[in-house]
Amino acid sequence: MGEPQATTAGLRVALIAEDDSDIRELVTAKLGSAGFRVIAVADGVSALAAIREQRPTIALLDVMMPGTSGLEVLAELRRDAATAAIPVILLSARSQEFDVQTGIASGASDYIVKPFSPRELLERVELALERAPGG
Amino acid sequence: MLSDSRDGVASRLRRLVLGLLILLVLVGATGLIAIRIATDQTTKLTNGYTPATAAHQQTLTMMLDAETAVRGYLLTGNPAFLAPYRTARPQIPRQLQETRADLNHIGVHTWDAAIDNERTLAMQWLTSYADPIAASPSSQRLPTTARQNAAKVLFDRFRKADAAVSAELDSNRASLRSDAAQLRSLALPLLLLVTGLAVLAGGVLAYRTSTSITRPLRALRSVVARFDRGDLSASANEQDGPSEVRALARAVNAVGRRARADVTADRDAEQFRQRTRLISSTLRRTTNGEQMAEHLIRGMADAYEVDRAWLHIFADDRVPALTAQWQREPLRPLAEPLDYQSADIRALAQRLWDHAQTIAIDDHRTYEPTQGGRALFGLAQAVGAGSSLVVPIGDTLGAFGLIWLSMAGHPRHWSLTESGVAQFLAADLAHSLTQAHVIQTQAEAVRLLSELDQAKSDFISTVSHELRTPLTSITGYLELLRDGEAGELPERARSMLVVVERNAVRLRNLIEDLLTQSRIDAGRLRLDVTTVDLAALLGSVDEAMRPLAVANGLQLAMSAPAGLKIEADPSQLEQVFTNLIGNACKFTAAGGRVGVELVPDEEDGVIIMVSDTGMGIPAEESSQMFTRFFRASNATAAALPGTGLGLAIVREIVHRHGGSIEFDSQVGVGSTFTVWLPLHLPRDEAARS
Repeated sequence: MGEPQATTAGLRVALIAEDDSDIRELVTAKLGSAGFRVIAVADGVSALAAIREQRPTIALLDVMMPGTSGLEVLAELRRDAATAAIPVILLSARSQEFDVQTGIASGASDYIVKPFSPRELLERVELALERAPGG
Repeated sequence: MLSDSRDGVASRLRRLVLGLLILLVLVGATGLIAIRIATDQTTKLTNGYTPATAAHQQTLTMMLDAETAVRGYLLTGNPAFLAPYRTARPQIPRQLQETRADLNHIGVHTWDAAIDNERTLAMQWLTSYADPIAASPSSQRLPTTARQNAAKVLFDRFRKADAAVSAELDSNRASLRSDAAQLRSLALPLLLLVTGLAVLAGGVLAYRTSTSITRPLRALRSVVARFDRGDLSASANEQDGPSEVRALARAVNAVGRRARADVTADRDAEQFRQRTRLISSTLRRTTNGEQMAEHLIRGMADAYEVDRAWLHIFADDRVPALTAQWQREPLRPLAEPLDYQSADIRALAQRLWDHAQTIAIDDHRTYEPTQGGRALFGLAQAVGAGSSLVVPIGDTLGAFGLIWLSMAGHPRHWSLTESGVAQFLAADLAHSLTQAHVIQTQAEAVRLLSELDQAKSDFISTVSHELRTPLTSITGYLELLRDGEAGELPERARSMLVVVERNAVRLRNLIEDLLTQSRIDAGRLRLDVTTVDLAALLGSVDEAMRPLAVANGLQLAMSAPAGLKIEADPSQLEQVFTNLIGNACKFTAAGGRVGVELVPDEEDGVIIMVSDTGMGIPAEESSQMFTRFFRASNATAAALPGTGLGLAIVREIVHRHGGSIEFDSQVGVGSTFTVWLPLHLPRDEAARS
């Protein structure tokens, strides 16, 4: 009985959607060592499919992805009541050109500009989970 | 012309003088006659009648004396009584002779016979009676009574004759005297009358002469006065007055006609100028060459009232090639000139331009083209132009076009004003065209430049973003390694990683500078303003910069009072710190000190001071330190790396936050950069963020 409880309450799942494989692995490594089960995908469509199927605790979405962008994925998640509560952190190489306010306004919990420190990323993730209604 | 000399002022004056002379002679003659008559009468009286009467009376007296003497002697017999007789006896014939001579002297012979008769009777009485008695007193003492009676009869006859002559003489004298008196009483009034008449006649003559000259002159004067007042409709009577005045009237009328013509010409000229001014002003309303040419051609056709106006601008690097034309219906437009025609027309325009000339052809039938331009005159002939005005268009570098105005089939005079104004308009067009061309070229150049600039900014922005992604992996894995995620690293590996990290930071700062600069250039640098805790911000800066300071062997000291907050864009503010501290570390040799100090300012702001003990900035370059891409000469000489963007970005960010920056530096001693920032962002910057 203890294990399933641990699985649902104790095991946290993070999704990283990032087209750059090195960054994808960097995030996977950092969050993995912090106790997260990490689902790593390379594009928006896969991200949406994975989130709907596996309902991660938190999703990290790169804004600039080929095909469906992080913002579009975010909008899709927020439209669906089942996924609307999942905290989302946006990652982008563009700080000014992409309006941070717009990102936050469209429902992102936080916004991280590349290059970022993995330590900082982890802190932001923890922060987002603390603030999340379910957290 | 004959009547002129007869009616002239001179001849009128001559006639006046002649009339006055005649009157003068008349008056003089009348006076002379009167004087002559008076003198004549006086002469007759004094030289004739008076002595004659006296002599005649003497004759009678002597005869009576002789008769008394004779009678006394006869009565007494005393010869003494004969003494008066002897005295009178020789006198008697002499006195009578004298009487006659006196009268004859004044030309009177009326009484010659009577006096001769009287003398005959006296002599008869003397010789036949008295003389014998006186001659022989003793023998014949007493004459007979018969003789005495006969003598007495004779003597009575003498006395009768004498009395008759005396009476005649007296009556004539009296009549002469009364004639003289009558003459005197008549001559004076007559003279006065004649004089009066002469004066009157002279006055009338003078008045008529004078008025015949002055009246038309007065009329002329009033005409001239009306001219003077601007009434040019006045005209003088050319049929009135002396010939000179009539000639003057004709001259005045000619002046009037000339003035009226001038006024009309002036009005026409003003209208012409007005229209041409309109052309000049419409030229300035557009920067489009085609429209300018169209305006000019229509305007000139209207102002010059020509049948055809044609403008041709040759292909040139100063202006775009174009042709504009207008022609009165039903004329057909000219075909675009062929290449060889265009070349010929261009040569003509250049020749005219070189000599600042126009060609004004009043009548093509009598015009011989001497300045070339066969193509144009061929065209003129082909379209049946009667007269033409050809004006070159150009600027200081030479002609680049030509205007051709023409009349269809008939001659026309081109005034100097018209050709002058045409030259002026051509110059105006040339100026407007070249200006417009320059403006368009410049606008094009500016557009290209801004496109290029945009491309450059976009490029830098893209490259920077593309650099950020790999940089994320580099710094990220570096951090994992240093955090021991891959297990404990040997000391040597750790020190190598410090070098990698330092350079990664440098690379990241460089990328941030380039990005910020490209945003500034593109006008896209925005402030994402929040309330920033300066101490906290300085803490993260310290964390980022300390490896660099340590690597350079520098002492880095930072101090900030806790709780100092400011309205700013945190990432930009961080960039200010990073750039200033990065510079300080870069330009300070090992063993030096870099200090960062934040102090609140009384005036609602904060002062940030970044000081070092580095190489300093040469004084002569201090004004250029904030110019982007500028690098101090001692920095480049020391081969210290850098972009020359850092300070330019710092100043831009500080200004955007409503703050100011200045520095104080001494070569070899060090530099201190002082930034002042307001605690609250100025309203307009807040609004822009």
